[in-house]
Amino acid sequence: MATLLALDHITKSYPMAGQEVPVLKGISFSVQEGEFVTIMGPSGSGKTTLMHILGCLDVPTQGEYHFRNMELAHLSEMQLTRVRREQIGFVFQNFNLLTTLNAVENVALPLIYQRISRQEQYRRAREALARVGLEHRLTYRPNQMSGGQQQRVAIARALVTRPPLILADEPTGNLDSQTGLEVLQLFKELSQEGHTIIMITHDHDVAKWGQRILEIKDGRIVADREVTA
Amino acid sequence: MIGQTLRISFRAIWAQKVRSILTMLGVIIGVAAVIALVSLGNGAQQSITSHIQSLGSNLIDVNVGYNPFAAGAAATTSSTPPTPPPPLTPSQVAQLGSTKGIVAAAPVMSGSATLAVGDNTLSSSLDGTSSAYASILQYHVAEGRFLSPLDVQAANPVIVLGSGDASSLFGAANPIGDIVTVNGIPLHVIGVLAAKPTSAGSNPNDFAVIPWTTYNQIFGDNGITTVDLSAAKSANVNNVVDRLEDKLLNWLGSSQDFTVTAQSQILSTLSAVDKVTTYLLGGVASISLIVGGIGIMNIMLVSVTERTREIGIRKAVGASTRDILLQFLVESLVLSGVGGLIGVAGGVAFSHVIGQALQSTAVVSVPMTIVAFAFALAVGLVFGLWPATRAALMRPAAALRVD
Repeated sequence: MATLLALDHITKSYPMAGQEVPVLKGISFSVQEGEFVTIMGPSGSGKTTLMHILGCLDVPTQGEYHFRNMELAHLSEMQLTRVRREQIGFVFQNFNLLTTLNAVENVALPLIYQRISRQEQYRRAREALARVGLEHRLTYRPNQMSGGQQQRVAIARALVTRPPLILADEPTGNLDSQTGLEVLQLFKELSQEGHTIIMITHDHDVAKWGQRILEIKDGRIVADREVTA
Repeated sequence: MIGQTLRISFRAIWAQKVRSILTMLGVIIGVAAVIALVSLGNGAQQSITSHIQSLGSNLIDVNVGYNPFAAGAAATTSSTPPTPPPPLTPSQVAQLGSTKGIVAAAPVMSGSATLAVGDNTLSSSLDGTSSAYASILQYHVAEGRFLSPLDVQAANPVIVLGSGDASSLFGAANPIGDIVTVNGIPLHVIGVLAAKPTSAGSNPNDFAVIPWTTYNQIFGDNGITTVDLSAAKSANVNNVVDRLEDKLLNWLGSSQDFTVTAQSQILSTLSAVDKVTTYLLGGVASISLIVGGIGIMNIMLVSVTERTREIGIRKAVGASTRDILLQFLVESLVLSGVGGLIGVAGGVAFSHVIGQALQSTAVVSVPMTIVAFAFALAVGLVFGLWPATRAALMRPAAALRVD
């Protein structure tokens, strides 16, 4: 298996009240293609910041970020946008669907920015929705769907561009345990289909769904272990 | 891509209907005001122009009488009224008429008189003049004939009625050959003038004309103080006016004793004034358009703040800085464009309503309408730029953190 991405001594600090507050203090790890990695840590450990850097939503203060054969740590905003658009699919804790758009339109959203035809956008959006089992909810607005359905729409949106990496930030955090399990089952299936997934959680039971758990605490990785079934 | 951006914008605007309409209102009122005010200004200008042209745009008036405002006149400190200058003689009128560039001259004495046919009386303006009057003031004879030189020479008891007076005194009947008394003096009706189009504020048909010699017999001889002249079409009116002034100065000795007025000069002055007024009104109205633009900017800034999370989501899924900039710019352009279109419709409708209420014509100027609409779009673009830039430059991570 080829290495998809590798972080090398990544640090990130935020200016706060005139001082630089370090959030990430030298993170190094790599992820192979096809892996399902969970990053686990308590709140305040820096895991969301880590996800933002992994997802090119933010840049590290120091360190190197290799993604395939690219070096991402020092790219311009325009180049980062391209990486986000083509390489990464996001799933957020609070779904982050646009309330004014229906399910197909939400899923088609990333494709708008890929400049492909409307028919193709919708065809692929319907396909992605079918993959997550929502082919009968195409024209539903987010507020007409349950939390589990909304999160599946969000997963379809992450899948629709067929990105090499899916990043999920606490995807079950806003769901009851039953629908949470369904969403986790979906991630497991996606992993079995060959998708590379990095999932962030504070919950040990959720973390166990991955093949490998990275534990993060106070901005450092404190454990890196394979999950034994 | 642009199509989809437009759809997104319409959607965002539609999602906030009330707010969007209130925002557009500024632009709507601005555009409507520009169009309505300029239309009314144009209408006023046209009615003034057509009124003056109906008098004959080649018309030159000579007035003999003390004019304290004459250009080049020496300032007098004396408070006693100066002695009036002597009136002109018929031969001086003829000399004015033979000035180079002048094709006709007629002495004009104006007053009002009571015209009567049987029990039917009418108070009307009455001009005493000569046969050239009709051609100078561009009146055509509808029935009968106009004054002849012989009528003037012999002081014949004849009268030519304006179409308004003719219908007031005789109704639909043909007045030719009938008798009209003027201040009790019986005169034969020899002609009726064709009606001229009326324009705001005056009616050029409610009057009657008699020979000036007859006029003197009825009202007493006060001499000729007014002469209407007609300049040749090809003549340079300013030069002709200069020549007339030279002659009058020669006879009367003081430039304060006469006034020479060319209608074409009045016309150009009035239309210049009117043009300035129109542009001024348009300018004032366009200030409201700019205020409308500030309204758009205000609401776009609010919208950008409210939709921080949306911007974050769009950026996360691959929208570039340019995509976001374009989206918000298009949104502000749609607001100002739709507002502009409604404003154009409102302005055109409003100018017709006001035009009818004021009984003047409102002339909607198509170029001005296009300019007003383009200005509205420009306002949307300019005032949308800052909010759109703010949206576009948001850091995606920061934008997503906002609740």
